[in-house]
Amino acid sequence: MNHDKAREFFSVYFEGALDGGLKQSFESNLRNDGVLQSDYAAFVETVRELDTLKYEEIEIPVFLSDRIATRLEQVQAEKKSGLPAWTSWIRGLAFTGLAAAAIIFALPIIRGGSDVNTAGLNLGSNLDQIVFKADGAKVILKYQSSNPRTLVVSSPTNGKEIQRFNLNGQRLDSPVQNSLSKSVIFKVEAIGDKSASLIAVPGQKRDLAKTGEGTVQDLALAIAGHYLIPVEILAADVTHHVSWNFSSSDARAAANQAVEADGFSVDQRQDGLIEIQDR
Amino acid sequence: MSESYLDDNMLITRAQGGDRSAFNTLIRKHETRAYQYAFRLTRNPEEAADVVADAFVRIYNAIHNFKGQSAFTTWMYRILTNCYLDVKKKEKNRVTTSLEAVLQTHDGEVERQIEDPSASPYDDTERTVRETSIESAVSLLPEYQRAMIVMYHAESMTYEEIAAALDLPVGTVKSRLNRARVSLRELLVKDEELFKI
Repeated sequence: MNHDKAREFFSVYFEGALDGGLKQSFESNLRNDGVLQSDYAAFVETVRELDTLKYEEIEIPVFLSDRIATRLEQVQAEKKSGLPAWTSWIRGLAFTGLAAAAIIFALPIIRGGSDVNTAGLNLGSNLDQIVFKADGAKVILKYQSSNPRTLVVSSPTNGKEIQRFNLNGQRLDSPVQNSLSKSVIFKVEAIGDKSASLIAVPGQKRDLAKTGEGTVQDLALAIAGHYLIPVEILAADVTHHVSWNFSSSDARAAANQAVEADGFSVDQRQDGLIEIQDR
Repeated sequence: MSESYLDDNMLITRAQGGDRSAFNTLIRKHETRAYQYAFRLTRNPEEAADVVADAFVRIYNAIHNFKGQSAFTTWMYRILTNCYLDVKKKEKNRVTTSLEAVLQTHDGEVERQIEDPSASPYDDTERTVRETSIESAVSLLPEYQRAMIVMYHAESMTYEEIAAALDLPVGTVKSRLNRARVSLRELLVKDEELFKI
């Protein structure tokens, strides 16, 4: 077995799949050929480094869904048929350039109102109430409508509508995931209701900043970013100015310390979700 | 319930029957994975998004022909790879200008300035130089080898899945992957020598 031939067996030998005589011949070459030895050692190092490729963090661009929708629309136009309704649904998910564009509302699971809640949260007493349930860094938006209602999701910073759910006595379970690196916040309201819900959803990367100041809304974003925990704001005045220091590893304690002197309190639910509310 | 739990075959059957929301869900379910693969091949967000968009158009056009003989993801990887190879072919067919070319302006000759689109050193603080160099080296491989390396090492596909996606015998995939790894090692050695003091 010459040097070049031996190199053809690098992978199969590395994977332990070289059998019988070939294995003996390869190992004999390896023992007696210093250059082959160093070549093989470098090869093994390369393969191990290649396995780090899977850990590379790749940020999904906010324009991806829009790009796909646009291309599909072009195809439809070329076929001279009307625009398909479902592409507008995809486009709706692209949030047309909002900062919160990477929040993904997965396909809402809408069921009849009387069946059992699969996520283990009893909504029986929460008719017509917006409920968020944390699932790690993700959030599940839940809503049980007693009569025809429209739920609107929007950006609280610019008011732009992101998603709209029309419900007619049905239950909504919509997983919400933020594929941006930073945390984002959005508002959910049922048309006709006076109150709205605000929720900060963590991004894909932890924000290492421990100190900061801003509004209660900014604090919610900072907590979600630093501790990778969703934060719901139930307080009435989200513009109140606060400052924070996340020296504690306990998210609830750190958040409470930031707002307790300002008439707010912080709770952490069993599912991990943090709530900032008026005291 | 997350849409990631929805069964591909069920969605495809529904999409083939004209259920547009099922096709929509299929996109939502797989677009992230598709983009990550495309980005690993192209190293360019715009180009990767175009590859993914083209691939979903092809999937949309061909969904009625999908018989379920392989997993949907295998089929998707095949289409993504073909879209990527097509993009590269188009690039090669374009008229190119040498990087060393000198521009003639009213003020005389000006050396061409090339913008480096890669991440700045400050963006890479959390990543090792070695990881960056292996990604760069992968991007120097011929397209087909690059696709195989990415499928196996980044997408964790088996030889059999790669063979199905690229429509090649398993033995060919193994031998070509070995060749790609050996080539990569040589590229990395060159890279190390270049930066040796």
